[in-house]
Amino acid sequence: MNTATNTPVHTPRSASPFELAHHWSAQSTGPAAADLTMTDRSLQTARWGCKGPAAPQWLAEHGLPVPPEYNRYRPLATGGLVARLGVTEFLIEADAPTLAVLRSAAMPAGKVHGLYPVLRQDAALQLEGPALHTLLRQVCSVDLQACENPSDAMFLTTMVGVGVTLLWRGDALLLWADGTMGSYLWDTLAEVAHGCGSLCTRPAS
Amino acid sequence: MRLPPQPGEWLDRNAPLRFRFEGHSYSGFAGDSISAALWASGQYTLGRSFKYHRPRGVLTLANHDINVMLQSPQAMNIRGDVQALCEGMDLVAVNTAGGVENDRNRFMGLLARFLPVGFYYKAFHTKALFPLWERVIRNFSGLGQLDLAKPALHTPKRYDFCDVLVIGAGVSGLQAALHAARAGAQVVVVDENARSGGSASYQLGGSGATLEALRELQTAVATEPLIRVLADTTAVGYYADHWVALIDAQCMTKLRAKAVVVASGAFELPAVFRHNDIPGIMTGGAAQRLINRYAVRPMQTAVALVANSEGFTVVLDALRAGVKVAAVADMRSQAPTCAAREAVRAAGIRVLDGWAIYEAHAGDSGRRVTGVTLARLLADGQADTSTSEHVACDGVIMSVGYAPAANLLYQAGTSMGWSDTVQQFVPATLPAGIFACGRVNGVYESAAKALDGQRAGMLAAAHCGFASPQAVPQVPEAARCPSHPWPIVAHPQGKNFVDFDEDLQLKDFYNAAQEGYDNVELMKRYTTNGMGPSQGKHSNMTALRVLARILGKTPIEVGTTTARPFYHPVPISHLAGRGFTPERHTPMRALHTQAGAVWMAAGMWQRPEYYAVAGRSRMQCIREEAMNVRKGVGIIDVGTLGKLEVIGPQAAEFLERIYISRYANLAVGMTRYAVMCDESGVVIDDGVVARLGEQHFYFTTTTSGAATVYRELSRLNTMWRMDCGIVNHTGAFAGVNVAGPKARQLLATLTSADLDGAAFPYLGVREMDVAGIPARAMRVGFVGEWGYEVHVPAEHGAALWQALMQAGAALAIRPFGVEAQRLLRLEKGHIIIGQDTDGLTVPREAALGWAAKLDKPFFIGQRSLQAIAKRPQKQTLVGFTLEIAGMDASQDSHPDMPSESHLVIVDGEISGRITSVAFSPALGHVIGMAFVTPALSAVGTRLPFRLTSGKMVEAKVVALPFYDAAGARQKEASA
Repeated sequence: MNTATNTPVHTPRSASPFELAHHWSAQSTGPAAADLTMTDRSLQTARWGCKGPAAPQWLAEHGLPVPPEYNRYRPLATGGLVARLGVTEFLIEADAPTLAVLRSAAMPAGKVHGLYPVLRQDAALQLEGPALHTLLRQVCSVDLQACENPSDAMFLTTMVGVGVTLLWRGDALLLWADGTMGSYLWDTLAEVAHGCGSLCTRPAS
Repeated sequence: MRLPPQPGEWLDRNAPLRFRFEGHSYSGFAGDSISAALWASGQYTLGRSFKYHRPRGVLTLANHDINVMLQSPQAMNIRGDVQALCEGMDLVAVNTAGGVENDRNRFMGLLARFLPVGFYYKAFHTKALFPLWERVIRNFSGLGQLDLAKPALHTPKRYDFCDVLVIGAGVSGLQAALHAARAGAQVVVVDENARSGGSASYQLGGSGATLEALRELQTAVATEPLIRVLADTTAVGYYADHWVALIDAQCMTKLRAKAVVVASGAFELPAVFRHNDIPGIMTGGAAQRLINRYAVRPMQTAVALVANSEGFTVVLDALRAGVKVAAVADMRSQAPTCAAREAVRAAGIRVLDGWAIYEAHAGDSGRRVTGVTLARLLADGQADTSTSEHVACDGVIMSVGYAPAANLLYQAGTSMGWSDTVQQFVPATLPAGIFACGRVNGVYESAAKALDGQRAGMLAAAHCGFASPQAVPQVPEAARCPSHPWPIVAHPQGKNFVDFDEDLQLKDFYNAAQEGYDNVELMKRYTTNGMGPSQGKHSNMTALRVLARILGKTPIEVGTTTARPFYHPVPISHLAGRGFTPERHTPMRALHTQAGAVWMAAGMWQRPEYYAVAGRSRMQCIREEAMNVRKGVGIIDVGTLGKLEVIGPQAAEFLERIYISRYANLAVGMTRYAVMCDESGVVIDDGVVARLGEQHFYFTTTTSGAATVYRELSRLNTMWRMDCGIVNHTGAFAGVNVAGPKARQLLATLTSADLDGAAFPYLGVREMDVAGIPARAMRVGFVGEWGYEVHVPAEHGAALWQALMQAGAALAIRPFGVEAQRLLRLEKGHIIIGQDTDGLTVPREAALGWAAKLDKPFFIGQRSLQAIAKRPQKQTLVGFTLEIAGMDASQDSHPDMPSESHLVIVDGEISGRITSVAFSPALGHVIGMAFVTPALSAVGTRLPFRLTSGKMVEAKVVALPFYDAAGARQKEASA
């Protein structure tokens, strides 16, 4: 048995980095009337990672679209994405069966030469709403909206002092961060967000 | 006196405002500045000067009137010349004793001869008197009064982005913005004024044509969707890669542009003549702002001192405002003709070419100019007093020249040159992406400024990749000089001020040069010129001209002082902004809080120091938590430990290189203590290495060392190119240490794994389910009891904790915090890196010599440790006990209890220091560890510690560990 491979993604005892310390202001995931909506999607999607010199080819061999450059991502037809975080480092969000196949093929660690499985326990957020850009202007020093950014761009930067991975999905911003930073990140974003207008906080469905 | 509505005025006549100044009631309109409203109300003494407490009024009305600093209950050092008037303001002038009209400190002027230039450097030779002088000077020189009781302001911090940033919304800046935007660039225009327009909004010359052209331009800008105009916003600093700090009333914005157009204009300079600071004497720009922005007649009768055509436009505006102009003294003996000059002559105004003001007079009150003495200028710029003529007036208009507002250009690395044509510094070589236009570029004519702005805007857009549809225009050469090369008139009695911030007179510069401070940077510091709140905006150029004349050099040969950010004062609250101090929490945070955790910082992490219990002191809680581990079972959250993996064929070899012990021979399913050294052999980290597979190791680091260790290992692996990879799983795994004689009994209720001592031996590692959660469990014993360190994916951390607490309820389980763990590990004699070691500790000094396998082929620090091994040891870590009569576990502390860092003193010399010390409830006495000289390390040696009180207490060196020396409690027999 190996923890990185066999971790159940959805179990009754899974807890998001946010949910025990916070109270949601809403439960639904439909359109929110608030100026800013923060949705906890930490447990919404199964997540797994891998790195190593063999990772790009290995992922391609398993039928996944591999972004040609780092800081880019490719959407999956079934939902989810393959994000290239570095030259040889990847984050995959996909349905549980897809990831189970990948984990099984990659594990135990060392089974595939040059491929190193990564347990992903990210705090994952979705930020959206008319006040989003006002918020971003106060928490991130990178121009996430620059017109020269490619449409499949990912941003590995810092937000309120926390290392984050960001990408746009339509008008919403998806964010991943180390789960242990989740509480601080949530509290700080919510504090700044309150100064930008009304705030809706909710879990993902 | 308030004028009837003016065509370009900023006032809302339908919004009258009432306010108080120095205890008296005044009125104004929305749109007024404070100074303008006071001037309109007949209040001419608006502040007092910094040094001599001379009365001061309107000088520039351009954000440089630093003698008109005001205090309200809400804010301090409000600049009256630009701060918008608000209803109900209650203001007093700063830096007065008894009010602005009857300032008791005005006698300071009488002491002027005792306060020469460089006073600060000459007066304090006796250190003993420094506290006295410090108090005196602080009392005299302070500006606003800080109210410490006022609630703290929380200001946001913002970022912004654009293609082209235009600094300055005058004609050239607006043209630049318009043409950059028309090429397709996103443009931000910032201007410190409340409205755009720059000098075109007030330098009207008695005609409405300028204003009309400006309005057309403003409309074009306002309807251009790619342009954002930020008024009341000052660009205060330029930083690399086109980052510019913007300050508005609320906050600082860090704006990053792809190109920057500096259209910041020029500072109008006061002329230097005796008593040039009396209220009523003001720059031409100030007079025009009063008239055209605030509809205030600046004076009834004026004398104008001019040296450029702008001066004549001021006279025309003054005439239109009903000012009687008694005379115009033109410092140029052969002034070129211009329309404004001819219009003034045509109006019957007496114009004296080659004349200047020799001195101004203020009558008995000293609070308003009553007349001036004019004199013909000689060829060397001196006044010919034989020609002097007194002219009565209640106001003086000075229009003698400008200095470019080039601070941001300097900060951006622009190489500036000197233009004799316009008598100012102009950009010679601009850095890539930086453009200049308008007055800062030496362009003063209205049409030329517009063209220069177009040129700069197009080039800036092109720099960003936006080609302009039109050709870049050519800007005609300057045809006239707006600045007099020597707008200075000497006077034997002085009081001809160069710097109004610091009351620096012309003679001060000559004296400084005579005393050897004849370098521009030295002179600045010795005289303090430009070191006041205006930062030399109105004085630096004049001071430079004085120094150039003293040295017989040109201004470019003299050079300028360094222009550092910020070039305009910024409130501390803006600088502070919103602070971000990231914290890390384990997934059990909420459960710890529910259990009464008292939090402590451990690097970025927040950890429970202990769990508070009602009716128990902190120390009681800690000791009870520790005793519960010794007698039953406790759990501690160790998820903060660094958790790394190394995977691959060369994983073992990699660890052999990283750690000082051996790992190639570590059996799968076993763990081993690991010590990491740096190249000098100093201990920098420790942890436990677990072998999960032939090519798969999982290892921990200290809580604070995880990020550093991961970074360093990544660096080394990149360098070594070994066939293995490193994964940082620190945040991905939660960790719980279950410890105590009942630990196995507890865990057995949550797992089907074989926990028998043979199947899962001490230092073993197993992957198994705990409470249904896939886990990695290590049998390690930092606290000296039977224990398991259970690591699970972070999302299950809280569930694991809850399951352990629930299952352990029958065993009287309780959580323990960092302090209890520190106590327990001390009893066991285990060190904490960073507490029981320091930045010089090598393994053998910390009793870790056994771990260093010097015969390995290689490890980091090996060569140093081999060399160190041949040298005598300087210190060694020993254990000690201390019996304090009457101290037991019921007492939190005792006066004779030493603390960490207390020194060992032998024969008056420092011979060691305590690294850890605590009262052990399990042993019933004080225990600790200390670094001592080798001579004091033998068991039984007496160690004299000096307490903070100075009292000496004596401890005894004992063998480590203090508790369970045989380690029996971690082996099968004790289970």
